[in-house]
Formats: sequence, C-alpha cells, structure tokens
Amino acid sequence: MFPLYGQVILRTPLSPRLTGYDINATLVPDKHIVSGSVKAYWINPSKADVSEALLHMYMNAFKSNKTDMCTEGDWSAAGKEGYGWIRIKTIKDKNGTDLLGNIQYVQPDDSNIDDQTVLKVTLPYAVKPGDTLWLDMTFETKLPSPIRRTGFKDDYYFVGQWFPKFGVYEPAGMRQRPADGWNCHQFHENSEFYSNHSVYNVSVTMPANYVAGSGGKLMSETKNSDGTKTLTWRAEDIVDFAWTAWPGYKVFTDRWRDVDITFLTSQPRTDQVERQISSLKNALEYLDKNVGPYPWPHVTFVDPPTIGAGAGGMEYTTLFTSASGDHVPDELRMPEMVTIHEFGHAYFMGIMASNEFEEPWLDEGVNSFWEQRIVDHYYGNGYGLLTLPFIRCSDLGFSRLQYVSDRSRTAATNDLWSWNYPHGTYGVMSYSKTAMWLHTLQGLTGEETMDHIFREYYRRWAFKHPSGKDFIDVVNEVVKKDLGNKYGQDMNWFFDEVLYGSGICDYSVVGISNNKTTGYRGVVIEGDSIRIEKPDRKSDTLTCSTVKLERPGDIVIPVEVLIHFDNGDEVREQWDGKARTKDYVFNGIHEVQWAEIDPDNKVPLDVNRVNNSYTLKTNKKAARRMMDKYVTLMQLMISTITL
Amino acid sequence: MNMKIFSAVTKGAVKSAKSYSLAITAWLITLIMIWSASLILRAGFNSLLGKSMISDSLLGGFDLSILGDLGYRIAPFISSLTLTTVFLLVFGVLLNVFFAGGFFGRFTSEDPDFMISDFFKNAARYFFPYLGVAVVVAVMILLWGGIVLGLPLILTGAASKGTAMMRILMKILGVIFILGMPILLLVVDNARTWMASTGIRRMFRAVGAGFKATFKKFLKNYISVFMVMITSIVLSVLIVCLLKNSVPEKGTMIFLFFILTQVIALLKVWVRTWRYATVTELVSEKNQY
Repeated sequence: MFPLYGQVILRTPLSPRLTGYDINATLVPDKHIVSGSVKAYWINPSKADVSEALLHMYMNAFKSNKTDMCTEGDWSAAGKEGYGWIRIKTIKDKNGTDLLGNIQYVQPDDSNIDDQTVLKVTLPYAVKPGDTLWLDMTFETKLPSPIRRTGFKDDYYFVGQWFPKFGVYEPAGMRQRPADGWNCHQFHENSEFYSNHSVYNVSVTMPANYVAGSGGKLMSETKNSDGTKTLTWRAEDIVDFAWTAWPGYKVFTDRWRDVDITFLTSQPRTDQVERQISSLKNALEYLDKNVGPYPWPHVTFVDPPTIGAGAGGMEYTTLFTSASGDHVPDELRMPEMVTIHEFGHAYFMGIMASNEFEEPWLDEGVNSFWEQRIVDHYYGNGYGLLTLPFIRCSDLGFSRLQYVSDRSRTAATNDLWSWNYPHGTYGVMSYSKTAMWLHTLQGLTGEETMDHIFREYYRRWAFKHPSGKDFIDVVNEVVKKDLGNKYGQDMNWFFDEVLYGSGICDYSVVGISNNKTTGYRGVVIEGDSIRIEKPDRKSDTLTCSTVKLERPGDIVIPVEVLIHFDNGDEVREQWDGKARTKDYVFNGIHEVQWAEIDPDNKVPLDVNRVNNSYTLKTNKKAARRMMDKYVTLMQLMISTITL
Repeated sequence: MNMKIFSAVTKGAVKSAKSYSLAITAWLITLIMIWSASLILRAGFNSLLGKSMISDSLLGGFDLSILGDLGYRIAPFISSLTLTTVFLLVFGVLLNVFFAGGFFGRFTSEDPDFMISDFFKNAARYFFPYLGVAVVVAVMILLWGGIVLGLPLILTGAASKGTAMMRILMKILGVIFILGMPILLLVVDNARTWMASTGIRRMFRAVGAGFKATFKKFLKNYISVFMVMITSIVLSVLIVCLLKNSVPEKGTMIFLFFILTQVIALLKVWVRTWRYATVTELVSEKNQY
C-alpha cells in the first residue's frame, strides 16, 4: 500500500487531508458481503482536546424498517437477503488498545434508538490539537437490495458508503459554528453526505470475471490463484470512495486535456457512449472555463444497467453514476443532463464539499443551476433537454416547470436541513427553487458578474467546506465590486427573500387603457354669464395611455417593463417591484399596444409568465396552427383505424 | 396477369374518380365534425392564454415549460382535449363505416343514375352489418399485430440485446405486419362487396364469403390491394412529416399549410374508395362468388 501521507497521484495536496483510509476488503458475492480492514486516521484541526470520535455507519440505514431512512422514506428490503448493515468486529488505536468496549451508537439528530448510522468512539485519551488519531478496524458490511445508491442486484454491485467513516470535526468559527464539535448526522431519506477530503488506499479482492471501476486511480491488478483478483486503487483529496463491480460492464476510455476518462456501461447502451462521453467533456470544458480547474487527472463514470438503476444519478467526486435507458432517442437529452449534473457535483460536493445534510441547496441547487447552463448552452439552441420541431423544452424550463407546478412551493423556506423539509418539498426546494433564484440572481447581475462570483467562490473556498453564509458573503463582495450600489449596500435583501423566505415571485400586467384626452368640458362662469363649454372634437388628438402593473407575489425583485406603442416605438422602464401596484402613464399621440414584464426572461423565479404580458391585439396564430394540426391528426387517425 | 392486375386497379381508380362527389362529401362531413370540435378547443385554449403574449412564444414550437405557467387551469383543458379526441375517434370511425355502405352500394350498382340519396340509403341499410364485419376483422388485425409485433418485441426487450438489434427487428417485423395487412383488408372489403352484391346482411356469412373470395385468385387480389395500400401509407407518411416538421408562423403560411394537409386528407379518402372500387372490380371480373 502507498503511504497515506504521500503524493502519488497529485504533485501537491489539494486539501489539508485531515482524514485518510487504508482499506483492504474482499467481496463475497454469494453472501453479498464486503469485509476487511481499515486503518483510518483523523487529525484534530481545532485548538482544543477532543476525547471522542464520531463515525458514519451509513449502511446501518438498511438494517431494519425502523431506521430514519426507512421511516422517512419507502425503502424496504427485498426479502431476508435484502437488509444491509455494517458492523465493526475489532477496533484498536495505534497502541493496540482495544476500543471495542468504547463504542456505542448515538443519535445526534433525534431519539430514534433503532437508527445506528452514527457511532461514537470514546477515546481513552484526548487527541491534542494537531495530533493524529489512528483507528485500526476490521469490519463487515452486508450490502442491501434493492439498490438505493448502494447495494446489489443479482451479480451487480454498487458499493458506496461501505466503511466506517469519520464525521467532520468543525472548530469554532468554521461555517459560523459558535463552538467546536463533531458534525456527524444520521442518515436520512433525503440527506446526502458531508466529510473531509481524504486520501484513500483501497484494495478489493473480487471474482476474477468481474469488471470494476472506482473513484480512484487503478494502481495494480493482481490475479490470485483462487479465481479472484485484487484491485488496488489510490485516490487523493476526495470526500468519498465508492466502487462498482459487475461481469457485464463494457469499458470505454477517452481523454480531455490531461484528464483520463473511464466510462463503464452495459451492452445495450453502447450506442450511447459517444453522447455520454461528449457530454462529460462539455461539462469539463464549461466548468473549467467559468468556475475553476478540475484538479484530478482522472474521472470514472458509470451508466448502471437496468438491474443497477438504483445506483444511478449519484456522485462520489471522481466517480459518478449517470442514468439512462436502453432506448433513449437523440432528441431527448436525459442521459446528457444526468451526466452533466452528476459530474458537476465534483465541483460543488467534491471540491467545495459543503454540508449536504444541513444546506442541500448549496450543492444540489447550485449544481442544478450550472447543469442547466451547460445543457442549454451545448444542445438544442437553448432548448437543451428536448428538441423536436413541434415541441421543445430547455433544461432550465423543465426545472422551472417542476418548481412552478409544485403545490407545496410555499410550504417551507429554502434553508432547512435536508430531512426537515415538509410534505416532500426537499427536491423542489433544494434543486429547482434554488436553481431558479440563482438564474434570477444572474438575471440581475449579468452572466459576467455571476461567473465572477463563482470563480471567486471557487478560489476562496475550494477544499474548505464553505457554508451558505460564506457563499452569500462572496456574492455581496463581488456584486459590490462589479456593480457598485446598484442593488443597495449588499444583496442580503435578495437572499432574505429567496433563501430565508417562503414567498413566491409573481408580477403581472393587469391592463392597458388608451383614452383620448379631452379638452375642458364643464361650466364656465364669467360675471353673470354661466355657460356650458364643450371641447372641440378636433382638439381630442392626445391620448392618455396607462399600463397597469401589479405584484401578486410576495418576493420583491426589480424588474424591467417593456412597453410597445402602435407606431413601433418602445420604452423600457425599470420598476423596483416594491409596491403592490404600479401605473405607467404616457401622454402623447400614440397608443400603447402591449406591455411585458421581464421581456428577456431574467426572472425565472416568477411563477406565472402568462400574466407577465398584456396585449390589446392577441396573436391567435399559434393556437390556430395547433388546432389545424390537431384536425389533420384526427383525420389521419380516423382514416388509419377505419377499414 | 400483370395487365389484369393493373386492369382491376385502373378500373377501380376510374370508378372511384367518377364518384369524386361522394368522396368529397365524406371528407367534408368528417372535416366539419372535427373542425367544429376543434373550434371549441381553440376557444378554450385562447381563453387559457387570455390577453397574454405568451402565445407568441408558441409560434416556434410548443414549449413544455409553459405548462407550469398555465397552472391548474390546464387540467380542465386537458380533460376536454382527451374527451374530445376519444369522441372524435369513435364517431369518425362510425361515420366512415356508414360511408362505406354508400361506397360499396355505388360500386356494386349497375344504375347509371346513382344519386346521393342512394348513397345515403345504402349507407344506412348496411351500417350495422358493416360495423360488425369491421369489428371482426379489426380483432383479427389486433391478433395479427400481437403475434407479429408484440410477442417478438417483448421477448427481445426482456433479453436486452441492444438498441441497434431492437431497431432492426422492429423494422423487419413492421414489414411483415404490413405485408399481412392486404389479406385482412381483402377479407373485409370482399365481405362488404358480397353483402352489397347479394343484399344479404348476415355478418358472419359475409366474413366467410370474404375469406373465400380473398383466396380465390389470391395473388392477383393481393397485389392489387397491396398497391393501393402502399399509396395510402405514402400519403399517411407525408401527412406525418408535414405535421412534425412544418412550423409556419405567418397567417398566410398557416392557411396554406391547412389547405395542403386537407388536399392530402381528401386524397386519402379517395384512395380508400379506390381500394373499395378495386375490390369490387376484382369480384365482378371473375364472378368470384
């Protein structure tokens, strides 16, 4: 094995490497067990002594129907063989002291004693600041079925969250934490993960006919005399190590600059190899240019076969899983979208490594924002997800559709811990709503400033576990620098609305009126003379046009309003969006024909674009064309089924 | 024999062309039915959009993301659309079965003064037996499709042999399915011709007679109907291509697009009557009953 502290893959460490794992394991397929040993270290980054360690034992989430994951969600074991668990058989410190009596399962999030996904190791001595804690463990992991990110189905294995893993020890001040402490949450239905950037030496022995891939760089492959083989991987500065093995994998390789790409897929999907690999290259190119460099020399991705579909759509930094189907038409770019999304996590989960338990929006929502930019940039002339002549959809539009059509979109704020989102709103809040307000932020600041924000965020916080507040601070700093006081002293008002608030954004043009301006009509008293004066009709040449706007939503965003006159003139007004109503009045010889709020679609957070515009002459051509096509289609269908 | 095949097909074409007014009548009545329903749908869709200019964004193609903006109001519209479609399909098929009675009456009649009233009289007379024959043969077509298309695709899909192989298999099976269709079309048309010729409105007897006539001089019958069927398929493919790829934006182009599709729809009606006439011609040439 390579020394954990050494440089094998990268010339210099990317992270402080507060943790490291030396794992030797064996896959026993007939029992669906991975067992072995792990030597793990943790360096105390704080200024205080620490006398206990918390470790994630994620696989115990599949141990019974009473775990948090199972009670919050709908996973249930496929028969007796389907349960999953992990147990530590032996645990010693570097001196050989047996610590088996010092371990107990704890529940930092709730009082569910049936949830054993967090293990506390009470240390016989405190770990001083800067000192290293070594734990020498043997463990046994039983993989679950059906696969929920990790598990097995028949001879297919996706092995994630499979070894005892340190939580993150956060010193006071880190992520605005008031006091030192372990950040080690239980595994919930909707939570993902949070861990230190680590070094991994991993050796796995498996049947020789299995084809395997992992998040590490393959250092050696040894055939054993008993019909097995041992694969040794090394990974540096990644937050998680997962691997997969299946005899049916087909392996394809490629390269982007100095990044080796390995793609594992199944035979029925080999015709999608080109589109999958090219989508990854597009993501590499785009994120490298607009956010920051991809720092590892390798990336492996997997399109699990149908039997392994439960492992699809997940990320492990230098390993990720896409999701596709055996027959996906070229016009529907779901495989590309998933590949780009899951690779994007290498940046926001892998490099930034924010806390996905507590701030899922900072990874999923941010990543969704970038995924939509990338997909719509490279595919379909802006309609990246679906492009047919008669029907289309952008990736941004699809995400927006999910947000605006969710009935519970005001049920919660956007800053909750992942398992606290009520009524199934985790997905729409973490992914879609966040992406929409990030696109809106981009609409306000401009794409150049938005890229500047993310480049600075990357530069300042790569490998340092930023919090949402850290991100907001970067936004405030960059917007101030690029745009001055255009939006006030800072952008906190924006985040108060969209992140810490639960309202919706909706602006509406409710009407347009064009009234002729009449001359004086009324009584004229001159001395004893009282008469009625009527204006000369010929003098009614001026028009008073009023465009009436309203803000039915709660969120206040400055918006543009485009007003079009009958002579072709246009006026673009800036409305601060604060008042509930706003009238724009024009006196002149021309009439207002139509008006539109946010004509350039800079505010995708607006939940109703139908009421964003109002015209006195509706254009019914689209409806007419659709109905004409409908008539012809019905004639065709009737004649086809008629004998 | 080649000349005789073309003779039946050609005479059938002439016969059906001479009855152009009946084809136009059938096409027009169906169009009015569908178009009337679409007017109501169009009004409903326009009321969904109100005075909004969002409809302008639909000119380039339907943007799926608009469904969210339409909110809960879209649900009743979708229900209306679904119900209207089902209604139109059912009534459209019944209408065509009705017209078939008139067409077969015309093509088996020796009366040179066949009036439009005779057309409708025959249509009414043979409606129910023709409907029965159509249902019986439709079941046969479903069975044929299930055996030729469904089973192999299910078995291949389960084996997951790969997209490329699936595509090749689908094409081969599709061709086999199409090659079998003229036989079933011959059965239904011969059955209807038998009923119109003999005046006997017995459904199952007619189907039996249809089978008998189909396999008497089978090759000639098959090739004749196959040629007409291919013409109809070509017109269908043309309509599908137009519907899929044409996205006219200007009012004049939308109107011309509609005219073009209706010309093709009318041609499709005429091709169907051409098939009826061809089969009646085949029967009368050889007194196949």
